[in-house]
Amino acid sequence: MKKYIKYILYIFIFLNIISTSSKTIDIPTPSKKIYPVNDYYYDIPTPSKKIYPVNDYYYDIPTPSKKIYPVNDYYYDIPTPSKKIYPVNDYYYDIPTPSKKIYPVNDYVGILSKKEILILNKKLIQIKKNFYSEILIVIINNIFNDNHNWIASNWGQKWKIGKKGKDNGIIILLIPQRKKISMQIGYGLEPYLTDALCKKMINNILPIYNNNYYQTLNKLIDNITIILNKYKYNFQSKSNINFFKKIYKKYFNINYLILLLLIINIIIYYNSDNVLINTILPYIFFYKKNNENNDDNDDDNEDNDDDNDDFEGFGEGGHFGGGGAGGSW
Amino acid sequence: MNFKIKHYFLIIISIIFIWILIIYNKLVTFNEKVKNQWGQVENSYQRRSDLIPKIINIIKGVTNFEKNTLVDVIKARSNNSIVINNLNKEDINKFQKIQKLLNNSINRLLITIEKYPKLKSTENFLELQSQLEGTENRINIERNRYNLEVKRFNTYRNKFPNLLISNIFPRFKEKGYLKLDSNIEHSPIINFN
Repeated sequence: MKKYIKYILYIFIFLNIISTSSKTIDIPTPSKKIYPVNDYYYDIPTPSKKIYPVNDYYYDIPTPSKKIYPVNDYYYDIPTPSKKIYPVNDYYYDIPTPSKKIYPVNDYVGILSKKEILILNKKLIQIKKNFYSEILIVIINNIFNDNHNWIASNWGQKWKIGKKGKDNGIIILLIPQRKKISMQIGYGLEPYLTDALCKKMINNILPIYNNNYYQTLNKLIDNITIILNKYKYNFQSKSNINFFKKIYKKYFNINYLILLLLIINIIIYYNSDNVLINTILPYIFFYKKNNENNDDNDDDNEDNDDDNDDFEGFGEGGHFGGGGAGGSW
Repeated sequence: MNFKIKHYFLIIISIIFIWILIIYNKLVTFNEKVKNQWGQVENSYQRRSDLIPKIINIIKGVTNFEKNTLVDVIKARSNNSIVINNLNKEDINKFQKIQKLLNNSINRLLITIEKYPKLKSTENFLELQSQLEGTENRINIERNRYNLEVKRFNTYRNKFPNLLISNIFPRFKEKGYLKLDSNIEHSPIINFN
């Protein structure tokens, strides 16, 4: 028996050494067919059945349609004709329907990292608080054959950026694939941010090198804030329509209701002789309150978006009429 | 019996009258929307014609400028002002022809300006160029919204029971569309450089 134990011990130690060594450096298991250069960040794709001479994996070679047109512009889908053909056929980029709470940065491509989006969101929400004007950033890739300025202003019209009656919204549309940018301005801000001024601002930023989209957007926003700061007193809203709404959201909590009930309980406690109810009831209320607070703390750690409770989302009924400017690099 | 038939007859007539009234009121609201949007379209076209004195002021400083193109622009602008009330197909086609003349003459002028590199690089001209771009975008947007309103009006007007009523009144004639003829972005651009 003693002999066996010795062997078992040896095996155990050997296993331990292997496990510790593998923990320190993750050596990948070799594949069956070892290539001379092993760049593990790049997955070498499996060959297709029909191998083309040029394999450009960034671009999918499309299957030919049944009716091959002489010009194949794949950015633009030739639409099927409707049954009743109207003389004006405007095939434009379908602007997506807005979410319930519109955040200032909408990246449909995935150029900006999460941290950058968070920082930009915070910055733009601060601008809304200070200058009462909303700046929306949209990043998309495909616009068919449409004009970028045209899409941007229609975007603002559909999402209703800006306040109703004031129309103080700004839209910055970025199309990195086409190398185009456009800045559109609502009716209310047109006298302050004229077309020529917008063109100057955009020309200051362009061209964008090395995919520095975050820095350029930051620069543009800073330039806009300088001008908004000049005419600060014109934007201040004298009559707050949502005044009661804000008070309701800020000061009305379930906790306050519980406190009120507690006070009532205390009053009852002094006026009555029933001891049992008066000992149980406050305990229940306090217990509930503590639980809620704990939940809130957990949520804060997970999502940093909920830090600003005052933010109600963009889109309060603004209109756009095509003011602004665009540029390409 | 006689009394009863009269009674039914009156009821049917009153129902028809109410039905006509509802459709008429709806037609009026659609018509007003089209008219309102037409005002916006005229506004945006007016903005472009207001830019022409600015162009002339910039060119005044340059000696030896070709005067033929300038005269064309001024002529086109003087013929530009037309008041349209009915928004029929014929009237709108007339309006569009006149605007096309102005647009073509402005484009010709911009091409001639490119022969003068000193003028092209001035700050005033760059400002004017950006303003022209802005006005074209505005015209595109307002025109598109107008077409949408017209589509709504025409489809409501041309549906079967509504057609009987709308044909009685001359103000509810079919409205004309603003067609995309002279759109720069939608047509192919050729660069010889």
